[in-house]
Amino acid sequence: MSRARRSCRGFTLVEVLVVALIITIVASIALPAYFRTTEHAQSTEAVTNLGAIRRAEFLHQAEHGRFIQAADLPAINSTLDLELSARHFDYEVAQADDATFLVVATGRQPSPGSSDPLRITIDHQGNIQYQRPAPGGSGASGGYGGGSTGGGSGSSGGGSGGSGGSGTSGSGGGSGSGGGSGDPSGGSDPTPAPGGSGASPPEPALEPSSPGPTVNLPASDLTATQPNIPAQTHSAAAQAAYDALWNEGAGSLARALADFLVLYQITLQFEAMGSALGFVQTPNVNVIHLNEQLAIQSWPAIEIAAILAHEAHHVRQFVTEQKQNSTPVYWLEDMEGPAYVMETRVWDELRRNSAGTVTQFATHNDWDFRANVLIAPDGTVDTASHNTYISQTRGIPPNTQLW
Amino acid sequence: MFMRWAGCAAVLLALAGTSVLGCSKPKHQEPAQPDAAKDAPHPAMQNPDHYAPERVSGIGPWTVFRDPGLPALTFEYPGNWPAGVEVGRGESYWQVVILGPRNAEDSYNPGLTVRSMPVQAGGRYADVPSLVDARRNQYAASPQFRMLEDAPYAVAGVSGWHLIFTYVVPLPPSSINAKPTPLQTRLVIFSLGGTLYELVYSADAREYAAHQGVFAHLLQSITHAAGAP
Repeated sequence: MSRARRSCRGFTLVEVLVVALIITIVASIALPAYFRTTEHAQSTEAVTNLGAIRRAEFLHQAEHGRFIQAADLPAINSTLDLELSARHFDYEVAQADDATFLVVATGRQPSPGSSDPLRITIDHQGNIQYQRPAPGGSGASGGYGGGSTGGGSGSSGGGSGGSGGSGTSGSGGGSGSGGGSGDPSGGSDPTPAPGGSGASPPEPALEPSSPGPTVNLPASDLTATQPNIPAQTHSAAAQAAYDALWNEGAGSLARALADFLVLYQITLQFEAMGSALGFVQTPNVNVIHLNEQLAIQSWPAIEIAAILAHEAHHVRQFVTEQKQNSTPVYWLEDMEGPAYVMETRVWDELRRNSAGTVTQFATHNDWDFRANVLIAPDGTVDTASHNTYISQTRGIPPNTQLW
Repeated sequence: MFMRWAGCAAVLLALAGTSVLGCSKPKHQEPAQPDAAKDAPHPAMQNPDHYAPERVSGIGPWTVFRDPGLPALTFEYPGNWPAGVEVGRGESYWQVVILGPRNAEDSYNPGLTVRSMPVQAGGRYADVPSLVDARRNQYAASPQFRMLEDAPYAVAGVSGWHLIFTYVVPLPPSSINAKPTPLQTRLVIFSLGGTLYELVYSADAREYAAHQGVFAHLLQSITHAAGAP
């Protein structure tokens, strides 16, 4: 009887206060995370639109010789022939001249915990900056916490290879196929590359390109990061690889990829990276990172060109096929399989002379095996065998989801 | 009183453990990689169907593979070997790739592949002989190719064909440090109910024997649906 009466007694004031205190503590941790998640989801709109605007600016520059300013989204849609819509951000091409531009997306609502909105910018080089207002910011420009160029925290966009045994993402061992996650740091978000929206402008299709003059890559696109290696070594290697894609490619794929590299102003950056040959990393997918050993060891230009083809295909996947966090992406089926097939097909083009006869053979890698065994004489690819081979060499089974 | 406090704590802990604290993206799951088997050369290398379970080390319990993508067949494979299904995109094929432990040089995983393709309509191949011919011609173009066996073969009472061959490939692909690596592949091809089946075992030739018993077990464990021709 006494036990029954005791159980009906209710809670003491101390109990209620302690529970309320704990709930307050938990909420103080959970709510900011919730707001950050919400803001991140909304910023996807901005990143997608900024990427589309950036690509449209390049098309505009190709036609008119300069980038163009626009004060708001209707003006952007009108001048750049887009059909973008916006729910959470306002857009402006704040600065534009012959060679550079800056597009700004400004949130319509104040950022959580601040009276100022989030600002996201993208420049002509594809650098995305997040400018978060400081907590309790007043709205003055100095109140922004300052963004970063966003390198490093995003998911790796898939290296062209490496030992691959562990399948670890972006490792020095070079599997580089990318994990989808990354922790925000230094004010940057692990936001994927600028991607297209449904209203994105026509992409450079991988259709036959007519031969044309050699395009000299701007010197600024060739960056040496190792001071003990002459920059000219890297420049020469990159230029030679590009020339190989453009001039020696008997077929259309190599030239189309060369077009793509120029249209999107892809930067080639040589650096130390273990055994991998190259990789692309979000959010700044317009930089193709190549192993400095390719230049140091004087790999043949057409072999570096094949690596470029692989990495350029990853860039295409990010900017034109919208391989972003919004939809599930599978390591083999979406990313590496198609990139390896592209690399193999381009290699097969590059190793042949104008009569279609194989005249050059790979000295460093398995391109000849793949081109001989996994591509039929009529050019069709045995994708099933090719993907199985890639899965076994990289040690990652199909149906492995990246994000 | 204690129970009530414990209850409160449990509720709060459960709350804290939910995703409300942050929406993390799904992490890429690394495939389990058992240690490479270091078995001595298999005593029955000359018999590709030799299967001695006591010689097949480092594998988990046999697991029956069933999948809607492969309605007519079931087979057994090591439960601790990661498996992944791939469906052709724009091409008519379905396959499951099962990976064994990484080789000693960290450049290749022995793999069991069970692949199905429709006969001709939507597929590339008209029948078993055309697929066998295609594979012969394909791999004959590989460096240092050598055919070890090219003969009729029956799986679960269904007649077909099998090939065993070796070749050399620089591995790992797309690596600064690629080295010529001998590979050995066995293909078993048969047709059942309008579908071509291609069962593949491929491994570093130096470690082929260590895992061929697994493939032999897979072949012996195959069952096909009643009524299938």
